[in-house]
Amino acid sequence: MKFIKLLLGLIVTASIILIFLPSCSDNSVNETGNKSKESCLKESGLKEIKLTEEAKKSALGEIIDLVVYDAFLAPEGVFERFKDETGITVNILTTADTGTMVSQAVLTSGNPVGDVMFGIDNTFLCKALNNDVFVPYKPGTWNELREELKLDASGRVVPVDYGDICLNYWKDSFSISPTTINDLATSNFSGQFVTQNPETSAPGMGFLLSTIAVFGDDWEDFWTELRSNDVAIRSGWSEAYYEDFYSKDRKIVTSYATSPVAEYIFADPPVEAPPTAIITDSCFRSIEFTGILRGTDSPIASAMLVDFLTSVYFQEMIPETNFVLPANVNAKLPEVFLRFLEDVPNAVSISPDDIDANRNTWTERWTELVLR
Amino acid sequence: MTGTYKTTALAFLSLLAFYLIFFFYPIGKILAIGLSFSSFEQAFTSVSIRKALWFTIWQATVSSALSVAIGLCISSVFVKSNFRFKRFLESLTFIPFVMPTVVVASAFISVNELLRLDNSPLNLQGSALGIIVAHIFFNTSIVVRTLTSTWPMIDFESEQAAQTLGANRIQIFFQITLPQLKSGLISAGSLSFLFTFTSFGVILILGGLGKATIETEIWRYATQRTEFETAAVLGIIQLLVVVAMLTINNKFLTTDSRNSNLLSKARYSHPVSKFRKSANTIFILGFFGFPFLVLLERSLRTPAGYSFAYYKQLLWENSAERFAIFGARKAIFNSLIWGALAMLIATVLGLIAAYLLTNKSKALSQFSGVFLMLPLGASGVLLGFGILISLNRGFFDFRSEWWIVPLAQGLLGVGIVARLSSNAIKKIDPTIRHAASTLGASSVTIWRRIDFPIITKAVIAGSAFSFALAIGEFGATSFLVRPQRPTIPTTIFNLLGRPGSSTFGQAMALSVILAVITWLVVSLLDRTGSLSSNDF
Repeated sequence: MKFIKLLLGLIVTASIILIFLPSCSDNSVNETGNKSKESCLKESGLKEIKLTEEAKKSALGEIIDLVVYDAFLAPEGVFERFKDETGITVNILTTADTGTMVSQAVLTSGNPVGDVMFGIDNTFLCKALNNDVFVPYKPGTWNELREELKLDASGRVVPVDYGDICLNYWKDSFSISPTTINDLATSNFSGQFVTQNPETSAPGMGFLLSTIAVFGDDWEDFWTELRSNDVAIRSGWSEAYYEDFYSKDRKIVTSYATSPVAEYIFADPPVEAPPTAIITDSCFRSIEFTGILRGTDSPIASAMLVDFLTSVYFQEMIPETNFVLPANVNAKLPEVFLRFLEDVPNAVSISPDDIDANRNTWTERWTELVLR
Repeated sequence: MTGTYKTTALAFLSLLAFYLIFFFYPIGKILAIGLSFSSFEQAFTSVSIRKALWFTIWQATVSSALSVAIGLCISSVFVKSNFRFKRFLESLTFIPFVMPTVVVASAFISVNELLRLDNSPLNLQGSALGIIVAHIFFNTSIVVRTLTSTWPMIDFESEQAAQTLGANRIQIFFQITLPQLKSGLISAGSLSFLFTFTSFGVILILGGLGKATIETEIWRYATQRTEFETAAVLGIIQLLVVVAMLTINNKFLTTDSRNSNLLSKARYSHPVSKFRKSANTIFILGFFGFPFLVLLERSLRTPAGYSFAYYKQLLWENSAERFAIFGARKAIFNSLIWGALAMLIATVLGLIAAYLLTNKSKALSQFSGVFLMLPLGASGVLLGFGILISLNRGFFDFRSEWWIVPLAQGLLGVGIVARLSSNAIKKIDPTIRHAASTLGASSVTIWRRIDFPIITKAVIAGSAFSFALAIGEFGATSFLVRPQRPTIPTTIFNLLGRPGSSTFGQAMALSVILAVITWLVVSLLDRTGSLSSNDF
């Protein structure tokens, strides 16, 4: 009995120490929100990494970790090629969705899990930048990257790909196809539209942001109209696309501009042309970035990886595995993309600062308007 | 007796060290972020958080109570009768646990559409009813597993004695059978309460965020809003409720009847009526089989009629260029290895833990009863995040090692194996052990020759569970950072994330493969379990 009492005492003390220890340790989590008045894209004062030929040689034999979101698939053999060229081994670390990946990076800012992150997008960008998650580095390919994608001039994040979140519809379902976002609220398309909850789905968030970009302060009225026009809301892309859209219960869905291309590639039996098409009006442009995580032990090898990720070779590989478009202007699109990808000439966007400042208010208003 | 004293201390300390490093330290460190008066005040004054807390508690209570009731009906038929396909039906009740949540939820959505429940009061989508039905679907299998492993060990002779003395069925059930099943029922009830209290995928997919629980709110604040303080406060509240629930449960668990007559061949008093047998069969086939049939149908339906095309693409044409990115065959291999590893960890540690739960010292057994089960009641999101900020330095720098995934899954399984086995250990008459010890048997021999054969079935039931949990990648593992290696669930996720008729078909086919693999492993384990338990 005495022994057990002693043990119990020990455990209680140990757990109290363990629980209170971290609150006075150095691992503090920066508060977000206080800094929201200033732009997250302003000059950060962090020291930029410089890559010299001499430094490159020193990175030989290093092993670095590339942190990616769960849906990312590495094109076959690309990192083996990187290893052949540089002598650096790349391990891929998978997290969960983009929001979780960024939150984890904020939590571990300064003592990161990996060395380079792939795939943070413009909707979560400020959360990371406000917490100094990345160190600036402008790759040798900087001038080849599309100007309009370079949101951070100092290079803390480097655009690596982009994609448009667009409405998709079945081509054979309508005698007069929908052409604008306004059509969704008309009686012709009543009960035809399914989209996703912006708090649980990236395309859902993209579509909410499109409506805000298009209608400004009147976005709430548009959603009220959508609701009376019987819009269906699902928690994720898969449920909306495969449950409602595939069964043709709903013939318009929020998806990506590249979805019809995937419909062509993964069709079984093969088809002549994609059975679906996109509405090119009011698509939301999602930009994905890569960046070197602050606190990495291998800044040089990391910088070389960023060079590689933005190189023409890698950029030409990602469309077919991840259905996104290259950020490097010199990268050529695969043949199927050239044939079937519809051009989106005027995709809409909202600045990362506005998204960061208003995201919670918007989603809460949306929940009240649409779900309650 | 100093020998047992030392063994107990050693067992306790090694388990404690494991839990401290992989559970208490990480979760403590993340929860500490929420330890401030202002954040608590903020959480308790928020209407949406109070609503979420209330909904979480009531749906978990209702779901687990109904699961226990239904599980009790089903297991009584299994235990008391023998009929053709019994084994098959018994293993069918396990199916829910081996299907990915996404797939189950989508099966429910299609049932909803098939039966046109959309605008009726029985609507399953976005409603509390849908969440409860889905939870019953998952948790009844825990109850059936627990009860079918402990029920055969109760003293049936007293049932027969009561019958001879003129007691009717109902009297016998409530006054003799049920009290003997108490520990099994409480274990099953508390396990399903823990699962439903922290359930995540079902709520998110079926409920949308219109029906929020503590766990989905934690997810929303921690991952989408980067508001760790609020998430941590919610995590603390969640753990407090879990600790309270487990403590109350333990109070009921301590007194338990022993069966000194394990060798009795008497098995049941009243035979089970034909009507109950067929009702049972229809219910299992309908309720458990139907979502699986939906899945099966979808995996076989191609634009060119029914065929195995998707299975072929998955298993044979996997190296064909357009599907190569998914790596399905590698995924099956990886999943099997990880599942086996997690099962091994859960079984070994769970057995040690079971002896702590049955320790003569009340304080020790009650304390272990709470702390062993905590990982099942803690937030998976927060445990994943906690590991990132705690196991990151010096010797303990393994937050992104590949083995942290099976280890975390094993951690979830320890509590289950421990609970199931301890129920069986309690049924062993201590006089048998005393006799053996007096005759000079060492404690190891006693364990090997007396305890082990008796508890095998329960241990195997627990191991099978931990295997299913691990291969289905349940809970915390989705919030760990891990090296990219395809597993079955991640491949299903990737297939479902890309448009195209064949990717969807392949996802369905791979889900069927997952269910079949798990079902095979579980049945195989069951078979070895029932073979070896015939020895005593």
